[in-house]
Amino acid sequence: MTLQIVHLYCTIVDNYGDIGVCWRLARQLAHEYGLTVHVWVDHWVAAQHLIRELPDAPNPENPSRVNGVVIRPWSQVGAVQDCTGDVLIEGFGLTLPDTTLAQLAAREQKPVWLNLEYFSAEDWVERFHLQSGYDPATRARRWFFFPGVHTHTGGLLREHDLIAQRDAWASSGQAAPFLSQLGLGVPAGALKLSCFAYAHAPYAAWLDALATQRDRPLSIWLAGSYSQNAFAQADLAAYSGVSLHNLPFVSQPDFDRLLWSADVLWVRGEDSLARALWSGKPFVWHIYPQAEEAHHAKLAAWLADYTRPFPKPLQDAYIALHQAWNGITPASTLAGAWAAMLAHWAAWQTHSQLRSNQYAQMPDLASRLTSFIRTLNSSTQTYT
Amino acid sequence: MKTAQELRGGNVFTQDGELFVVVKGEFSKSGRNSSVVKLKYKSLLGGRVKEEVHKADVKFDVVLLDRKPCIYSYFADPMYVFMDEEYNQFEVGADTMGDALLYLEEGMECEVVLYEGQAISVEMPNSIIREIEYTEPSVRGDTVGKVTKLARLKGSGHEIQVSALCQIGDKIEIDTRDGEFKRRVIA
Repeated sequence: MTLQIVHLYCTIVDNYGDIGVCWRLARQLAHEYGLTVHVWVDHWVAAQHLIRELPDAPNPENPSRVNGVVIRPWSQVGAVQDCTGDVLIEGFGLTLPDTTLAQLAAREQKPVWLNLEYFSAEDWVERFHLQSGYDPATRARRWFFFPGVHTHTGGLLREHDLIAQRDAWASSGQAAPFLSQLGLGVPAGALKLSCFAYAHAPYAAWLDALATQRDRPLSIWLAGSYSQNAFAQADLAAYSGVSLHNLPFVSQPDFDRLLWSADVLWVRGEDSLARALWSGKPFVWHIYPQAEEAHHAKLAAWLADYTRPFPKPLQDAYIALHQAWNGITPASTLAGAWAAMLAHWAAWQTHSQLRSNQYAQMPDLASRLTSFIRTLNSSTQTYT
Repeated sequence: MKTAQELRGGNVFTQDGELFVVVKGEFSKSGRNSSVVKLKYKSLLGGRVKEEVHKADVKFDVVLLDRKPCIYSYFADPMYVFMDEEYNQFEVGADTMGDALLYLEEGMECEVVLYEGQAISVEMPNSIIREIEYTEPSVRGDTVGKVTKLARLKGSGHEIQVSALCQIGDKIEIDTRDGEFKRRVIA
C-alpha cells in the first residue's frame, strides 16, 4: 500500500487551537513530505478565520485547495468516494463521522488509523504513545500519537526551515516595518510584550505588576478577544509610559514573525507554546484549563522539563510566575514573581534561546509521524 | 456495555467472539475533553495477554458472569485460594487478581467470578476498611487546601495518599473503584 493520501479530521471546539495544530500539520505533510492531505473541518466559518483563503461557503463540486491542502466540511462526508485514504487521522480524540467509520469498516485493506492526541510532558505519555487498540466495529486498529518533549513521544510541530527563518528574521531589519504594518507604533527603547491568554487570566494584577516594575516604556500587544476585552476599559492614566495595542487576527506565519519581533511572550494553548519555544524568546504559558484541575499536573510536568537546566533561582522564579499567571497561586503573588524574573532578565533571555535550540535538536512531530506510519505500513500489524 | 474507563480488573468482555478478563487499567486525561485508558487483558481461552490503549469512552461488551460470595483463605503459589460458605475452594491466578492484590488480607470478603464453573477473577466490595501500618507524622500548619500524605497499609504494604490528619494505627475507608482514600474511620 502506498502512503500518499492523508485524511485529517478536526473539530473546532471553542478557540482556534485544534484547527491551528491540524492546519499546521496538514501544510507540513503536504509541503515537506509531498502527501495529498484532506482536512475535514466541522465549523467552516471558524476555519475561515484562520485560513483566510477559504471561500465563504464550501463548494461540493470544487473542494477548496489552500497551500496545497484540500479543505472540506464534514457535511460533505459521503459525497466523495473515499474519506479514509491511506492514513486516517482523528484530531484530539474526536469521534469520526458515521459515514467515515462505515467506509473504514467496509475497507478490506485498512488505512493507518491514528488518533492525534493533546500535548503533554507528563511521564505517562511515554507509556501510551504509539500504543493501539482494536476496534471491533470497524475491525481496524487505532493508534495513539502523543505530541511531547520526551524521547519516546511524538515531538512538537516544527517546520524544517523554521529555526533558519527565525534567525534570518533577527538580522533582516524587517521587524520594524512588519510591526508598523500591524499598526504597532513602538516607542524607542520600549520593552515589547505580546499577550495571548484565556479569559480567566489575572489581567489586572498582571498589568499592575508590569507597569509598576519597569525601567523603560512598555508596549503591550494584545492578541485574541479574551486579552483585548480584558483591557477594553483599562485606565492607563496611572501608568505613564505603558501603551496597549490590539492586534488583528494574523496568519500563522505572521504570528511567528510577531513573536520573533517581541521581547517577552505570554502565550496560551499548545500550538502557541511550541511557537513561543521555537522563537527563542522568554515566554510564559497560559495552559488550557481542564476539569478537576488536571492541567496543574500538565503544567508542572512541562515546567520541570523545560527549566531542568535553568540555574535554581531562575527556575524557582519562572515556576512561581507560571503558578501565579495560571491561578495556582493567588494573583497577588504576580508582582513578586515578575520582579524575580526581571532580576534574572539576562539569564532568562539566554536560557530561552538555549532551550529553544536544544529542543530543536529533537526530531519534529511530522517527521516522527511519517516515520511511524511508514514503519507500520511495511508491516502487517496495522491490520490485525 | 461498559466504557473503557469503567472497566475494572476482573471484568470480562467479549470481542470478536473471544472472552477476555481485564487484568489492569490505567486511566489518563490527555486533554480538554479527551481521556485514554491503557488496558491489560487476558484471553480466557488461550491465555493470550494483550495490552492496548483505547479512548476512555469506547464501549466494551461486558459479559455478566456468575459470582459467588467468598472469603480469601490463603495463597498457594501461584494461586490465591478463596472459600465459599459451603467450604468449596476456588483458585484464582495472580495475573487476574487485578487491584484486589493491593488490599488482600486473610478473611477478606469478596466475590469470586466464575465462567463455566471456573474461577477467573475476584471482585472486591466498593468500599473496604484497612489499617495504616506507617505514615509520616503530620506537620503543624499544613492545613491549607486538600493536604495529603503517603500511608502504607497493614498486610499488603500498598501505599496510598491519605488525609494529613491520619496516624499510624488509624483505620481508613478506601474506595476500591479508584483506589482513593475516603475517610478516617472513627472507632
